[in-house]
Amino acid sequence: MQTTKKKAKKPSSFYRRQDRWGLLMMTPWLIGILIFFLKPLVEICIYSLNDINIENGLQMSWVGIQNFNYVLRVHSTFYQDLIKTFTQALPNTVLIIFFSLFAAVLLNGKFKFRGAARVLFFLPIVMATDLISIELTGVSMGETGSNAASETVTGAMMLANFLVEGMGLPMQMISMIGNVIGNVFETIKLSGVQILIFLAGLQSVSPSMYEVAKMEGATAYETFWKVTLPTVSPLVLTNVIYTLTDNLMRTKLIDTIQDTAFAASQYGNSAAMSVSFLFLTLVVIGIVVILLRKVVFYND
Amino acid sequence: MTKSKVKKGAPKRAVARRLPKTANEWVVWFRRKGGHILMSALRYALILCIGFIILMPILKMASQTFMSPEEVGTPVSTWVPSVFSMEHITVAFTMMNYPAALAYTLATTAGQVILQILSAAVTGYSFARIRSKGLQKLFAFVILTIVVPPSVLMLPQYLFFRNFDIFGIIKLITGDSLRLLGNPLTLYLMDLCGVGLKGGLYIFIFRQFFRGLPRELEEAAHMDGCGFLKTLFMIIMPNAVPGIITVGVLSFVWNWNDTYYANLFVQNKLNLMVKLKSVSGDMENNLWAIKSKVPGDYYFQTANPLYQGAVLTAASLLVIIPLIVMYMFIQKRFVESASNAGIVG
Repeated sequence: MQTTKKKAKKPSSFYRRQDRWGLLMMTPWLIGILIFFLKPLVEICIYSLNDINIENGLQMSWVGIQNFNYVLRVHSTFYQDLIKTFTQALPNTVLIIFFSLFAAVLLNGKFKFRGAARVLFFLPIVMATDLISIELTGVSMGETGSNAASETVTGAMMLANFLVEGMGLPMQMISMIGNVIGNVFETIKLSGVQILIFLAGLQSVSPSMYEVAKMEGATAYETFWKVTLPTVSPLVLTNVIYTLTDNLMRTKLIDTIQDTAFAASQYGNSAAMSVSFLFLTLVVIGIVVILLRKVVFYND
Repeated sequence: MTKSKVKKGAPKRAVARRLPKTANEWVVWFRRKGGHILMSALRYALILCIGFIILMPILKMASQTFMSPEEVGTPVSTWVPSVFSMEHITVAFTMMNYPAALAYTLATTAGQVILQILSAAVTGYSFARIRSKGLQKLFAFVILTIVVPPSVLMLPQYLFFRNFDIFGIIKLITGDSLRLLGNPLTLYLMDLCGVGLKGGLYIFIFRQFFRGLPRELEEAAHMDGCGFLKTLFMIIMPNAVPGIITVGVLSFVWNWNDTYYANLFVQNKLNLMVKLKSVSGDMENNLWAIKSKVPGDYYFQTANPLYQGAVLTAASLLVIIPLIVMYMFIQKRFVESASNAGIVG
């Protein structure tokens, strides 16, 4: 074995045994991956190229890319929703990353009631349900007319409108600002895990680094940019991937896919939708990872 | 301050140090401390604002739930109800068949959490310790399971469970394939294999965690004659409590809130979330169905959308209350373990 050569001093049997046991312990997962992940992954790709009928058993007839043609060109909403999913998820991810880094820095120092503040900030993890948002925007709040969220947004929009017009900035700014403000509630709600990850990263920055920075006369501002940020930068990558996938999973495309399959019984089309969504997801995440890899700083 | 000044016994220096007298002294004092005070004031202000945004939905839900039905939607009270009433929550309680649903959901979720922790810990540990390069490459599949939205695989998985069979073995024995749909066993099976809801993420967390544990731990155990399994369960797992708590809380919350898998595979009407979703689609009929069980002096306007909304809010509150209670009990350990040892990539 390669690895035992490097550490010839140590008893090789121990590592070999660990490897063997490790593989044994991994088998349930390997089987799971095969049956519940890779098999469906291949199957969905096959389904997307066939016309499916599941009345009695599974009957397929090859139609080539006809399903994709229908889904992307003919279907009334799917293509627009697909594009919208990604054009919304990307800015949301950026917002969530900035907010969660900011919140983690806010929670990191020593101050009174720090424990309470952390408990509060992690509460959205527990409340990670769409229920509350349904409640806030749905029947109950909308009709009572006391929708605090929308009031805040309108107020802020008026202010933004005033500012942008007064300074002669382009009108597109308004919709951008409006987007950001309108997303504040959503952003905070979806940031729990990310704050957690960043906070864990900030706590693992070794104090001696800060000591050195202080000795060299760095200001707090410089310390943040030169010490803190590079150390947590690998976590930015982790967080971006997590946030992006989390955002993509919340898309209403999923309802469309589910309805197409189980309500309309168009299994082939549903599969084609799944595959297009999956393909775009992998491409976008791949690009993001490649771009971020260049920025991330690894200490070791 | 003035009191301590008047006191004759108080030493003068201490007073002077606490509060500068002349304008010049103020300036000096502010230069030294001002930045710090401003920053912490800003910090508290921001934390309060964000905290309010986080708490607002829950407070709003609670306020609406305990408002008397006549008051909902009127400008009489927006936050604190003028008359407290238990009607909404009682109606929601009856409508959801709460005790039975709660017991069922708690039991299934607890089972899922235990299975997910176990499988993720074992797999994560193996990934952290395995030295062979080829096996390490398999970790790419963990990342892939995190990245691929589970709903994409919905159709094949659904069909698979509809006619469940392992390589035709079951069909050989019983003559027909098992119909696993509508059985929580589907979820248990996936959790056991570490590919359940967000299973990849838990493996990832455990792997990162175990990588941080010193290898000397196992080497020492090996020297003392501990086998692999004994080392894992007697030495490693007791040291992995922070990881277990982090994954446990996340798994509990996500399984509790999950409607996707529950709707697709289990379809059990006792599951709280599934129930809530189905109830919210057709409030009027669901309210009508329990008409006989509701006391006669209740407001009970089944067709009033405001009333429906308030009952729905009460029902949602009932669904998330167990989560809040769980969080209250475990918050200290969770915050500690998650922010100190949890997920460091």
